[in-house]
Amino acid sequence: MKTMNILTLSALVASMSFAADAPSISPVDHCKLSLDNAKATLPANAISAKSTLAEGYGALNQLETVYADDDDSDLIPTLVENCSKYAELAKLQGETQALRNHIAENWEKRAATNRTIEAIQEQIGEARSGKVSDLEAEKQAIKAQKDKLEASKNEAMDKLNALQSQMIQVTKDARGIILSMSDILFEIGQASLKTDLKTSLAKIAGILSVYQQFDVSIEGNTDNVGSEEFNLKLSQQRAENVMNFLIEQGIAESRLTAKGLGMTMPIADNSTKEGRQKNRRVDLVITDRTQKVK
Amino acid sequence: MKANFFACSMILAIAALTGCSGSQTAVNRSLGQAEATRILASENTNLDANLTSSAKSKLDAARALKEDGKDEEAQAMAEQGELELRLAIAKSENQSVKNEDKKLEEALNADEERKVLYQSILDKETKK
Repeated sequence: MKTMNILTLSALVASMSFAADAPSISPVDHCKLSLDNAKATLPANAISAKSTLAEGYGALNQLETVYADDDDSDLIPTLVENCSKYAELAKLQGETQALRNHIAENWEKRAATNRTIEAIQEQIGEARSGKVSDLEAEKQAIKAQKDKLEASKNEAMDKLNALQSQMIQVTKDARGIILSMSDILFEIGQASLKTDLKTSLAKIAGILSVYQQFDVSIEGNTDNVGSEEFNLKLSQQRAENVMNFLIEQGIAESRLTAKGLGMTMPIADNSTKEGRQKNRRVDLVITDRTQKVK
Repeated sequence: MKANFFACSMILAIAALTGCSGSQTAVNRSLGQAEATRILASENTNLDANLTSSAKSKLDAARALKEDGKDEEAQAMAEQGELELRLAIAKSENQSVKNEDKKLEEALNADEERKVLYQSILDKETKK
């Protein structure tokens, strides 16, 4: 039996890392060391492990008693092994508790992370609704601007319509508003402007100075009487004279263009007196610059 | 004198009987406790088979020792058998908690990735 005890103790001692000190360790010391080592690793809240450890220390007491009574008792190897198992069990229960603690920490981290995600989602929602508001405001501003321009254009149209007379025809087509001025307003066969025309052009200049979005293309036209060259030159001169008069009235040159089209753009039959009368004209094609951009 | 001898004999006999009875009670309690743990362990199908098998052998040995009148040895052996069953249960529980911990760690990582994703969306939305 003594040999068996020695063998068991030798095996236990060999399992310890500090083999050099092994011979001096009694079964009681070994048991105590195992339990103390297990105790050192336990988390504070490892209740079941601590309870197991208490049982282990109880087993240690029993071992001490038996060992003190008879250090060669048959009971010692079983008690030593029990002591080791208590230590192992306590250590394992401690590890499990440490894992549970880690799980609890991770649940808290998850909760915090999810709170952060919700806060970010709210911020994203706010940022997006803010953008929608901005976009809506921008749309409304554009519409207001467009409405304003349209109103302005209609107003200008009304004022230009007021110029309508036997000598000035006001029409509207895809190019814009067209004011057709009869050649009665010019000296016969000449480019100089008659007083009535100057009066009408001054009114037009007044309107153009208010409605700055309008540009004017001045187009001189003739009937087919006379040479093409003469008609082209006459139409060009009349258009330029009109333009110069408008410039004199304060209209920026950059808003005006003048060109002579001669007999190339008839609007009526040149074979009749009335038709030729209609073809001899200067057209002011008034276009909205803001609509050109769009 | 005879009366004194009789009284002493009776006291010794009672003491011996009481000691014997106490020792047997302890063995029975240990075996009963071990049996209760075995029933508890049998409900878990994922236990370490080596440990449960070893525990069964130890409990059988404890019963044999008890039959031989070796109560102290029987009690220590029953305790060891029960400890092995408790170890088997604790190992199984430890593995189960490890699995739970791993799953939660993965879920937490997924949450962190989601957070980074939403943060990047927010950064883009508020960049203007």
